[in-house]
Amino acid sequence: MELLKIAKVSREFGGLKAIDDVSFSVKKGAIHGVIGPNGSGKTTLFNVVSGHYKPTSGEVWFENKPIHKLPPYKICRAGLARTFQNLRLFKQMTVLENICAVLDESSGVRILDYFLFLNRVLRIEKETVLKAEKLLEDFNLSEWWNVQADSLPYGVQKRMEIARALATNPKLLLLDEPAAGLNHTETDELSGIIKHIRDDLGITVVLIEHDMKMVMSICETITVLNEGHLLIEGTPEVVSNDKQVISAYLGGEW
Amino acid sequence: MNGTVLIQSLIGGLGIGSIYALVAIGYSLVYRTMGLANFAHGNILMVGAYIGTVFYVSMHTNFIIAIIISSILIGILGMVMERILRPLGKMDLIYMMLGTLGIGIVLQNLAIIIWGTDGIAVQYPIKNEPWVIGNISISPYTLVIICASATVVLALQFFLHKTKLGLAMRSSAQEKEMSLVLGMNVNLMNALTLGLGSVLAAIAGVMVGPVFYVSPDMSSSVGIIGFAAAILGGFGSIPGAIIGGLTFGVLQTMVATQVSEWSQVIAFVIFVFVLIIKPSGIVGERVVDKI
Amino acid sequence: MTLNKVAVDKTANERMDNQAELTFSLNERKLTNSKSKANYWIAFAVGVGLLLPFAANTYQIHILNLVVLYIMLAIGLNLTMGYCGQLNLAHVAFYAAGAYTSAILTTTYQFNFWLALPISILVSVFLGVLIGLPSLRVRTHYLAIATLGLSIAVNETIVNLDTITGGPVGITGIPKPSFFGILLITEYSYYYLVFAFTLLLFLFSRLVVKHGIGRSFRAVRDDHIAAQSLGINVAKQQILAFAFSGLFAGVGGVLYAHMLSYVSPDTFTFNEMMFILTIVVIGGLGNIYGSIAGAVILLILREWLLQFENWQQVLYGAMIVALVVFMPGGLVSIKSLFQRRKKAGSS
Repeated sequence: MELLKIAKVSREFGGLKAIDDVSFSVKKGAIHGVIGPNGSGKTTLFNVVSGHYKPTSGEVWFENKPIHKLPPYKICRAGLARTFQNLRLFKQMTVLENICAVLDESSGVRILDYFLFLNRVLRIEKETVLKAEKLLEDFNLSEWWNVQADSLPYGVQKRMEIARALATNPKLLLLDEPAAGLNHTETDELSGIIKHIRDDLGITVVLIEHDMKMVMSICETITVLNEGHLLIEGTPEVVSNDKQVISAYLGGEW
Repeated sequence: MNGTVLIQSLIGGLGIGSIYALVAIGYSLVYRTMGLANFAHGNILMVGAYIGTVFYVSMHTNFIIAIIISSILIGILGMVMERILRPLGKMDLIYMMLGTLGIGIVLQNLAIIIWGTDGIAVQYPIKNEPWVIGNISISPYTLVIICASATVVLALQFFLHKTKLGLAMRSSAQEKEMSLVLGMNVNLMNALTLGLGSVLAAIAGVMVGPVFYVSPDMSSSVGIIGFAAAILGGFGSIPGAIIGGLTFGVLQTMVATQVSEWSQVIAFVIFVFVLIIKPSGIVGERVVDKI
Repeated sequence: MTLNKVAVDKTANERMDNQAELTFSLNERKLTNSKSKANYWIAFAVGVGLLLPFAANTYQIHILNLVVLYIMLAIGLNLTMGYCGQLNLAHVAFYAAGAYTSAILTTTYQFNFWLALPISILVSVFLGVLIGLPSLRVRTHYLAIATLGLSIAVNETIVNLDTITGGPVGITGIPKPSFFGILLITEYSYYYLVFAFTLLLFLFSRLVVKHGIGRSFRAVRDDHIAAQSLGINVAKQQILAFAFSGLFAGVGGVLYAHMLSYVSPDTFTFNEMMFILTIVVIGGLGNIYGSIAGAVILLILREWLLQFENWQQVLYGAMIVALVVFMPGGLVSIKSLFQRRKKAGSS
């Protein structure tokens, strides 16, 4: 079952093709890796999928519906959440508030409630905080609940960003270089988290990553991009033995 | 609108527009170098206008000498202000705005204490009998303003692109860190830029004196429109500031020939519409959000 | 710290739920504790506010009226600027819209105050939404000058529509409102009207900033790109922020018009905008209590400076510069400065 389908997507920036005619699809329940050298268009691809950039041509389908014309917030509400390469936290808000701000969108409080139905606002607030607490507990973030996001340690910030993305209750999670800047222990932890997200929460994961060891160990399918083109797609074994990949990406040293 | 009125208002618009352009360049220069939107710029212009006027009207010096004296004094004032503005350059826009506005309030009210709230009427430095060509009548002083502004802009471009000091100022604006590493005195460069921007404001202020009254109100009227012109063209760009200034001047004058009291309203509404269509100004680069 | 809950089995899951409930109730307790403390302080402040007129002479009651009015105006601006991060320099235009609508309705059309009030609020909220629209496309400096330009346009429009608005002269003879048969003719009685509205709007803003809307606003302010990708409708939040600005300034405008019985375009200028902005920034962006403190301090400061005659404005400007440079977090940052010192001292 295809959850996400990218069909002949291109995106240009002033004549420069950042991605060129890329097509692939992500199966439901997969952990799908997207790799490629720097500047191969991985992040641009994510930005197109999440709606921040409109594709110059081509289409993106999610659950058999085209989404490439929707604004980012609607794509998110359709069930597609993401994290960012350079963390994008709500810096001046606490961890709990970061999570709650996302949960608020689906909590069902209307603006009118603030004027007329106070009890509804307060009741839903309690539910929202409870949900957020559970999510924080699940990600071992409880002890940080009242700390402002920009004063968290880096590893915790990364974990919180993933937790915050999950607060949107997604079906598909896009992770942009989740292991960047983490040490070995933290990277192993992260692998565990990603498996937990897929196995226990049933969320499909697509990740961009440079840490080959991690990608090879947790992804079932890997898509390789090079200079905006799709180079090859396959299982870790196929990809890691492919001559094209080795010469383009691994620099021929393997 | 018939042809005569069109040409006449076009020339008049270019005249006032070149004043706005000079003011807008001042805003953009300082913004590019220090990352600072200097809301005291209009007040600097007003002080410059007063100093020039004092020399020209009260001391009967030559108009050009008055401009030069005013430029020098205001240039020094601008360089001194750098020290006060330095901590503001690193702050969020709102704090920057309030801090520079505070400095503006100080300048404004010092001017009121010294020169009073009544404006000073300034005589034209040349015989300003309109030239009549066919049906079109043109004020010669408008042409003087246009030519003088163009000369100033050309001199500025020459200074920034061909002289060693100008190049140093541009490089310190573009790459602060690297310039520091190369042993450049970035603070001095900032002070020079602020001085230069202030000189442009002083020239504009003294030149516009005979057209308007020289009064404390100048700072908000010319200052705000100058800022709007800088934004309209694309903040931080010198060609943008020129285009923005001229556009604003022509727009205002053209509307004024039809419905004079609504010129300000219509000019600002059109300005906002242009911004909605081109959110980073006419020649400003379309900024793609870095993600 | 390690994440050891990755391979979770059923029992661990249940344990986790219990734990979550536990921490929740703990946090909840902490929150309610500080909440009830804050409630006592608010009740105390309201008590003081209600009693103050009895100790005030006619000059002081006038200043008190203004203080309470500016608290309302400042909180409204703070919601847009401090919480939602929108550089709104048109607050004063909404203030004008409220004042003028009510002034025109109650003089030319003989409307009752209580009927003119909601209509005026609607007008200023509508203007808020309208002037907020550019925020969907332009940001930072560009938004600041766009809203400022539109604000100037509104003021000029008021001057130009002299058959309706009285032009540069303004409107005089605006009637005092009555409340259940009591005509609020003195500034003492009028004070309670302003106080009641400010209290209502303060409580409303407190509700807003503590719950969903406030969090969405701050999310938009801190990172609008992340906010979008997390399902927050940024455009809606921005427009809502401008509508709030219109609501608070509109109510303020109506109260102002009937307080002085007179409105003129000279009130709603760039300087007035800057005064409200100064209150908000000096008090502390993103803190409604800061706006209250800012209004009190700046209005008292303004009155105190009157003795310096010509020099008052010069001193005022210099003080703003000093405050911005030396206390960029606003008045509310004094508290955190203290806390940091204490922490540093103890460790």
